[in-house]
Amino acid sequence: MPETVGVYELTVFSVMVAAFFISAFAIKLPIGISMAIGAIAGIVAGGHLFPLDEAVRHLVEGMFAYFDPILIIAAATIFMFSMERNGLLQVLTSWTLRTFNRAPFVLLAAITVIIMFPGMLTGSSTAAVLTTGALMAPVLMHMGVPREKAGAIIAMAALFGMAAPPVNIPALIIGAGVDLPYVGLDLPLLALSLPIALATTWALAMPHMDKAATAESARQVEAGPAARHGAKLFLPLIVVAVLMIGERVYPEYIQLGLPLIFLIGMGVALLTGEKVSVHKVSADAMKAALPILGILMGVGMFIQVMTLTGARGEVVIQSLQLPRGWTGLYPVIGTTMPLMGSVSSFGAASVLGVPFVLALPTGPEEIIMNAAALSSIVAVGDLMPPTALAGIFAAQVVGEKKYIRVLRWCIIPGIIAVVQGLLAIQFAPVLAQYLVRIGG
Amino acid sequence: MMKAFQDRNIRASILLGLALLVALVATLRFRSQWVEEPLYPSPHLTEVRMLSEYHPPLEGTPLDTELYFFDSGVPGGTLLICGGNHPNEPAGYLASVFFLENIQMTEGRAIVMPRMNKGGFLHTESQEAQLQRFRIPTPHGEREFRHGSRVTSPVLQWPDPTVYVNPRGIFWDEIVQDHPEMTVGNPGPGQQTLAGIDSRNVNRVFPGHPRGTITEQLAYAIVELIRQEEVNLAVDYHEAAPEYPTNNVIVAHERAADVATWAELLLAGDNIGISTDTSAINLRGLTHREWGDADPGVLPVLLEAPNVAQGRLKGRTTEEQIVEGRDLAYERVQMIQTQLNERLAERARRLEERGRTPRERSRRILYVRIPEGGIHIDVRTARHVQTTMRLVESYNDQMAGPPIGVASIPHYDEIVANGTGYYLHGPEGEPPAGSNGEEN
Ligand SMILES: [Zn+2]
Repeated sequence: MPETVGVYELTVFSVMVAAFFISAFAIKLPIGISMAIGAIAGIVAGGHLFPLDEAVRHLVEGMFAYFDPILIIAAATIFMFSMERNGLLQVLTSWTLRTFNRAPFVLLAAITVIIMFPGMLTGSSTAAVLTTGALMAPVLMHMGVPREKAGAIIAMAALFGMAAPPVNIPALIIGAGVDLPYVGLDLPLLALSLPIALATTWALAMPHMDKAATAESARQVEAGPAARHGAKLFLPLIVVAVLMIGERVYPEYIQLGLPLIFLIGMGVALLTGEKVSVHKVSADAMKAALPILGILMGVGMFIQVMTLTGARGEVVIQSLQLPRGWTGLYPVIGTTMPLMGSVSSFGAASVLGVPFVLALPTGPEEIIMNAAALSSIVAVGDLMPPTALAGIFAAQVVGEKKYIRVLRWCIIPGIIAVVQGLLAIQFAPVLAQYLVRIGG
Repeated sequence: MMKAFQDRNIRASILLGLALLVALVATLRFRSQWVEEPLYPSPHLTEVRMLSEYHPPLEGTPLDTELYFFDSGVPGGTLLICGGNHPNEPAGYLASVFFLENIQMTEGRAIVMPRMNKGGFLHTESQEAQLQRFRIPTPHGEREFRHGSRVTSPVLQWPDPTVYVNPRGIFWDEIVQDHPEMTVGNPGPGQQTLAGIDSRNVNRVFPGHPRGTITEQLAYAIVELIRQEEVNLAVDYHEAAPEYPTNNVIVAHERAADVATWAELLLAGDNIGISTDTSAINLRGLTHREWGDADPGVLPVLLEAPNVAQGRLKGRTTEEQIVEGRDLAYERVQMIQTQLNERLAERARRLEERGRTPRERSRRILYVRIPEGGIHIDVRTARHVQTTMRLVESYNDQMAGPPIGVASIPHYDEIVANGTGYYLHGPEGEPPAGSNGEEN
């Protein structure tokens, strides 16, 4: 069907992708820079180079698309580094292991929920990985879980936390896109996230559980010098948790935003543990976060140019022209949503999620069920390169240099999560009867 | 030269200089959108006021906006005409400018507010790759209009909360204390939860709050205007993407439903197909809901017309998209939809022959047919103008309030034939009122 394909759009898009691959893999430039080069190539190939200041405007405007996530990541990384440097991490690890070493099955479930928690409150997997994920990483490893699998557990729990209620921004965006208020989403979102999160942790960790070995390692883990600070050491965590919960419960009084909350957490960490240099901890954290911040800027430019040249629209158009079912629309949803979600779960929800919801059955309960299912599929995007936010940060908190090694263990749970979401879409009319309560 | 580039300091200086140059070019381009285009009110203008008169803290902020009063001197009702609620919906803006420059009242008075959210005119949305302005030919030369964003500029209100909760639910007790009349025949407080970015979307924050964010204060001031000026009929102009189900409609508060339905019939006589939707009770924050709930004396309606430039399926960014409403991508989607429906029907027939129930029989990707050549901004503007005239007629026919008389507005067919620009004024003659053309 040649007449239904946008030749100009696809040609420009091919040039952008080619320029990206050449820069990233032949010239070996950083991924963020390569995305920017891809964007510039698209501007030139698409005939949008002149007026030059307008071309520059588009690139800069695109670069700022993920300004807020960039600030969250920078602040969360600084917070994580300061908890590690002031000794809190080590004390918490030792304390958790000593207390719970006899019940690994329950402990693993608790660890999963703890890692999910910041994601549930903030809708951001990065916030989860870099806070409670970082706290639980040493615990998992001391229990005998290999480094790569510990990373995978953290990445998966964080992204299921992001998909879990009460805060799931992609679901909100899809609901708003079809003028449906945010009601009745909690139960479907919980059903699509908590069971699979627990199952993933158990499946990855239980083969390595050995009560005797865990007890032995619990005895060996020293609390370290920071233990002398006592309970006040835990203050940064408490402050951050209180502010995150407060923002949800009393939005009219507490509106600090995640970046500020994390920086306040860092401030508290500086006062409550071992001595830490603000300058050093900030510089080290920024050094660790810089590549991913660069990727987010590059990706923002890339998407802006895709929209400018019609390539983004073309992707949506091509995704919509298949009939519902496992040989049509469903595989397209299962691939395009995570791929676009890797760039931005918000963007994927708005640009693809809304048209997909309209292409599926549109009774109010079904829309809610489908919005929940689509947002749980979008979350898997946090494992997809080039951004792979959950994977990259999980590798960082377990100390694994190559994040691909962590991602390897996420492939199967990731695929199961997508298939689960698609099944929820297929059976939405039935599931909605049990899970969706819209009420009056 | 290459040797110098290998020196770390020289390299850093060159890159930094380059970055500053890019920042400067982009800044100048962004700032150009802060310059207001002049508007030329009709000679029947009786008074220009600022919205801040109804909520003084708004004075001097970039969100304070002009209200143009056209008083016939004959007692009667008050008509409020609003454009620029969403500055990325150009025909909505243009329709209000059309009235501003052509209106004459014979009974009662009209208040025209062409730039409801001035904070949305100051920028374009990242990732949407929109143009900053579009041009309309007039007998006095070309006139430029700004094309903005759906939301207040982040420069004025930032950061966004993770989740936005509409003030109506939070401050209900306070609101009904000041306005006890609101407890009668009103759906009550409600709890509207939205994605954080909607905190800057004025059409999601009504009824606003006097001490809230700047966008909430803007909304509050508009509600105060409606109350204090005892507005009887309020029309709010919008546009929507062709894939959005609510399109070519009058969305009416339940009290305005009869007026809207009768106008729909009158418009059928003009060969204008339009339908009436009653405002959803549980979707809070929108003009057609909150204005009517806040003031029992007003009949609020919101109008939608189809606009490809704000769609998710749009092709390459062009001025043609905005002005001619023409987009090859949407024309392609039209074809794809036809082919898809042929395939779906064929599949359904085969399945039924085998005694099975098909999952999908037909699908609407677009809710508005995009004809070859597009839906011109003149047609979209004329739709809004004609609908407003018929709403006024219907309002008078039904004696829904004190009579409102509007004279000297050309018919839909004339506007389409001559073009909107034919009716717009130019700089010669009287100096432009209400806008000084300088930066603010
Ligand atoms: Zn609108």
